[in-house]
Amino acid sequence: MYGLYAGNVDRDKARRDLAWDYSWFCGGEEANAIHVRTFVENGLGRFLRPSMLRRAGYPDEAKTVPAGWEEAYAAAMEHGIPEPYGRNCQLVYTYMSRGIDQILNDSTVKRLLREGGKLDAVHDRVREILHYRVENANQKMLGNLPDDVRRFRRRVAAVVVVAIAVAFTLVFRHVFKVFYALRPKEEAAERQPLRAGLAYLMMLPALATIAVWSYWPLARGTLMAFQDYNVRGFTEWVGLENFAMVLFSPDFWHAMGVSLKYTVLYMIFGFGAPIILALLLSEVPRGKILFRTIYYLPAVLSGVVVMFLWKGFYGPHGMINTLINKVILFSNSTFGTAFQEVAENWLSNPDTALIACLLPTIWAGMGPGCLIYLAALKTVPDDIYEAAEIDGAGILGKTRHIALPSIRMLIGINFVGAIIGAMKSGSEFIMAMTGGGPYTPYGATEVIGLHIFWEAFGYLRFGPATAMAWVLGSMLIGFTVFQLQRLSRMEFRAVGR
Amino acid sequence: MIISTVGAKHWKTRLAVALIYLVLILGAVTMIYPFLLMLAGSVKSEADADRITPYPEFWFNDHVLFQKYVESKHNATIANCRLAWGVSVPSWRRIELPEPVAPEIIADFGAWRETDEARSLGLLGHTSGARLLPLNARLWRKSMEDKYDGDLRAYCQDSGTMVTDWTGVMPPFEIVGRYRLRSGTEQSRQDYESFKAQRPGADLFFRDPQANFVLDVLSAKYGRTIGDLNAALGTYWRDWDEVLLMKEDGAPPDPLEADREAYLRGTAPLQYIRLADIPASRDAYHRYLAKRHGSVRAYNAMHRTSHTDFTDVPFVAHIDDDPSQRVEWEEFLRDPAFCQTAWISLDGPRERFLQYRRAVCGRDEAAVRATPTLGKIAAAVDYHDCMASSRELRKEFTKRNYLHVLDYIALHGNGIVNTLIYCLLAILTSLIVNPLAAYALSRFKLSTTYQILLFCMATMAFPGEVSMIPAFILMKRFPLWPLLGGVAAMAVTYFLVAKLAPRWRMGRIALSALGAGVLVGGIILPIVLGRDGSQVSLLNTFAALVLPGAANGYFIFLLKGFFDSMPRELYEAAELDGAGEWTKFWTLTINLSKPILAVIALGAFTGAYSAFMMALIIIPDPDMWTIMVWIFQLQSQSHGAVVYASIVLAALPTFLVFAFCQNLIIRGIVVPTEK
Repeated sequence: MYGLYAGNVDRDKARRDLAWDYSWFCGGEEANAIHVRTFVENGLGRFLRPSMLRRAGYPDEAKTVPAGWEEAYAAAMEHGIPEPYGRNCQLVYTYMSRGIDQILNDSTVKRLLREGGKLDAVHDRVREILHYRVENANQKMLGNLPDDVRRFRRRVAAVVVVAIAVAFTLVFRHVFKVFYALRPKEEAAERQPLRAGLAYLMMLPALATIAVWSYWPLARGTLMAFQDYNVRGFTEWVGLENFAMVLFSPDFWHAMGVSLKYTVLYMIFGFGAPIILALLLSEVPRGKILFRTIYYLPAVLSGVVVMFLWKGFYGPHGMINTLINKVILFSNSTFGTAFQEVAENWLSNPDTALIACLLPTIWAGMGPGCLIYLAALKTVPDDIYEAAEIDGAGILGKTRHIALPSIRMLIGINFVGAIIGAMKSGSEFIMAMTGGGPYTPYGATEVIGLHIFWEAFGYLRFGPATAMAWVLGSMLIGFTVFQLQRLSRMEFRAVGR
Repeated sequence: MIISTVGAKHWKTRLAVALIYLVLILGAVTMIYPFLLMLAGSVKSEADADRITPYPEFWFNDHVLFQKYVESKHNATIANCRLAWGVSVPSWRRIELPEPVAPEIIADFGAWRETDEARSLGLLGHTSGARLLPLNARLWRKSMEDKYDGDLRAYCQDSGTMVTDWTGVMPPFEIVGRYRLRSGTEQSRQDYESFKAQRPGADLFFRDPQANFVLDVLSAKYGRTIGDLNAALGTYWRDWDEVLLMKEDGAPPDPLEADREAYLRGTAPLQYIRLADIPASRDAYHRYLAKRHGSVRAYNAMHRTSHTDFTDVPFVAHIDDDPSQRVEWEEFLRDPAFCQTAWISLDGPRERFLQYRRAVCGRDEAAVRATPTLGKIAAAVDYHDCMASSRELRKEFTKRNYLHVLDYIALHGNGIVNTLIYCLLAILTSLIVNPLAAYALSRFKLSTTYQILLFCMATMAFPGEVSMIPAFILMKRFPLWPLLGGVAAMAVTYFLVAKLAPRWRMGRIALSALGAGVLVGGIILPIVLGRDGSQVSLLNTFAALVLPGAANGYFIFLLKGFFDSMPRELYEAAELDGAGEWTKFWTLTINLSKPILAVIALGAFTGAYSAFMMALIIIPDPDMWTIMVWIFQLQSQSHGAVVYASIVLAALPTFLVFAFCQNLIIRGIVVPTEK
């Protein structure tokens, strides 16, 4: 390999010949004998092919190879087809794995196998899945589409792109109008251009940095949405092709659905947790600082580390199963119940995978999240509570009518912020945990952020990835603007001087 | 307080407080338990990797300690343990405690191990692990560092290896199979032998041909259990221990003779074979040579010798006596037509030990005969050694993964310095750029305040993957001079025009400034400087890491909120006292904003410290890598336990920062309320 493929012996015929001779030798009988002898001496003879062992003169050793390996190998050599090679073929194993994932998780197949004895039906279903997968792979890898379908999709894409552009323009015009109405009453600044100039000068580093490092890549990236960007340089303009592909891609919409599901789950389980924790922590008579530190502990680990840790926990013999089994054993022995022990990998089960990915985020986010609520709860003066108590409010009453309303603004802002965050992010974390989840046939944990990541860095299709990002961004920009509008109506107070 | 001090003794209040404590404690346990698992996991190794416990089991459990000891001693290779003990070992975790052996045998074996001949027969343990770094590997690395005084190139030359840094230096390995294979050059082998001579005998293990014969040959041929063997051969052995490779003198022949002979000739380690040096054998050897080579001339041509006749070729009893005749010697050994069975004898570790015992026991032949197989002795002695030094072992196992990580980081010394510089720069730029902008937005009541804020925060709506590639391209070809020139032109034009044309409205001034900036930055400078002159590559610089994160819309927003909350009266009083803008900024605002600045600094530090994905892409040069990137590299080549240890160490700075600055940070949090 060093010689012939490295290219650095092209000019030297002697070296080329030497490399060729060596390669030829490596395939010959003598090399085979040396190879076999080394393995056999070290006790590893039974891992070699029996034919190799026999050729090298070790017929006894050949008998120690497990039966069936030789036949399997011969069958593979005779009936196997070599790997395909062509456009996007570096992904062919990914697509094949998805097919296998789908077969393993298919409910029809599982049901048929449970009922037993219906192997023909199982074969038919498997063949159906495989057929679908072949179509899918052809479409995605080679872009095979009939022409009229292509034209229709392009038209739809054109409409959508125009709609996005119009929506953005309208939104920004509206925003500018609203902010114009909100501007500070004193316009003294504008009357002194020099003074205003000083202000702009002070803002210059920040604005320049943001313009250069956030807006310029975004703009340049937007161009990629209309190109078939190839990292190695042969980029060509394809107009609305990317948008067409994205809008009609079931994977994209499924990923959107998964994102929505993820967001909803997060808001239900993860949004309220820091609030409740803050309420509890602010009431605890002693040990506040201790508890605060303990709850902040998970946040000292960086995000991917947390995911890595939890991935181990979710394994078949991980912490979660061990704990559950302990409880089951305990309950079985003392209460006489008959629960089965669990041993599944929570991340491989499409039903539980998404929640499993969510849990670590909640676990790590509780500490820092509750800090800001804690601070806000401190601002409520005690007299209000006493007054309410005198009026007969109990603990729950006081919580519901005083504490929660006092942090209403904060909750409101965080609410929208959490929705935006949950919709668009989470890709690196879920990537570390499941890589997109069991594919059955669509990734059970492939959120839209991860889908874009795969598209961009897995399949190296930056054009469609950017198109997806724009579709997502246009959905979220409305939220962002809404958020900013509300923020502008508030003033801030510092806490705990 | 929802729960007020009034009525605190009421049972309902007490119940509520108890409930609160309960929930908090449960929650705290779920916070801490994974940490405990992680800490316990960081001191594990292959033997106990899959036991999930919140504390390291081997601290208290001798059995687990023994399993770890055996794993480490046999270089984490199951085959070594099998062939040292002579029993089938399924995995480290299922090793049982061995049967005890008479104390005097243990003492004798321990003494024999210290002799030179034992050291030459034995293999050094604790030198490699399953992607871990055991004791002897660490000591070897240290001894090499001392010998070559840190000069890696000299080490590479002498040892024939090509490592890029000291973390790649590992002891040369030795395999005793049919052939004795050793890696490295003559020099490194010598160093290794002298290193081996200094290590205690307890670190040595021996591959026993008896074990090889029984486990690999007989079991494969006849079956796993002794019953299978008895059934096949019609014998009545009770235990595999009775099936000996070398029978005692005078024992009757048994059906294994053929297998024994085949083993000695074809499979046994050549190191342990000795041929009888008698006239008959010498003669047979010379006849063999004649048959193989044909003529002395052919032999001389092949071996570069100058013998006149085959009878001049010296006969070797042991393969190491004349390495040049290795091939012929082995072929002679294999050939029953020339080499008679009676001439072949085994001279392995067990035989040497028996000799030693004979010398020690003197006339007591019965005691010598009662010596069990080498495997049994080895297992019992291992257990004895482990229990004798259990305290040191526990300490060693606990700290070795951490030493591994610390060594790794320290050897890539630039990592620490780079991280310090990077974090410092990130904090400084964050603390300069963001407060300036926030102060301007807050104190100067511009009409474009909210537009600017929207400008700063609007990009948060888009996922980051989109801009990664263009950002990378931007860093590779950063238009530094056009940018600086354009911005400078813009500022200069603005102030000039504002000064010289005081009647112009703000909009016109701004537009002219913008125009000038674009002209200079976008057109003039690029043409003047040309493409290469105007572009600068920011890869491999701190600028590439620090600049993109210098300004953060969210931080600006927080700071503006904080500055807004400062009372106006303060500034008016300062103005009355004649304070200039700078004083108002520095002495008033920044001084009073320490808490919020602490929050910003913490955010910047956390971001800088844990960033490695972008850092990996932007900085291809290992000299500039930060700690996180090195840890990422380490994780990809290490055992899971080492990964946990690295995570624990990497989390320490963040934890310390938070623990000490908690109160300061809490004070800096700003909360929104209705206007």
